[in-house]
Amino acid sequence: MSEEKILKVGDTAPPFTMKTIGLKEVSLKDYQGKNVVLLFYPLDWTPG
Amino acid sequence: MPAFDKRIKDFEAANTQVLGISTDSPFSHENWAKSVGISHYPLLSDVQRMVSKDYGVYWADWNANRRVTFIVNKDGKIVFVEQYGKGELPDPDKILAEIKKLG
Repeated sequence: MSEEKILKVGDTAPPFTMKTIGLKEVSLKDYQGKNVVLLFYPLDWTPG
Repeated sequence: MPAFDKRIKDFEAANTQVLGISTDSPFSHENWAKSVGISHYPLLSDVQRMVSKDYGVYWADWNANRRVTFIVNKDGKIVFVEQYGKGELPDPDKILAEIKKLG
């Protein structure tokens, strides 16, 4: 399972909606017209 | 990532939103954010692992995300991808430099 197909430069970013603190929903499309940095990290309480 | 939290004004100045994503619940995020000092950008909960799989960063061994940073430009295209090994963390200066290249 180490061969997940990671998205590459040039791919369209798939849309998403997720909950954040306070259970507010956040979607990628909320930030249309801006650059967005997506910091995927393994788990809370891991370094960083 | 507290390193990004401290630099959030620089990202805002570059018309950029920072989002942290893990498979933890919002309740876990709340405790962690308070503990390490993240208060200027949202931490999102991919509890279903759907987003992780869509972006290809799902880490089956841990049922979690791998550590990967994407920059998505104003047109919704991925313009930068960086993966990290054990002990490596994203560097806000490097990510800002990449954003500035976009113009």
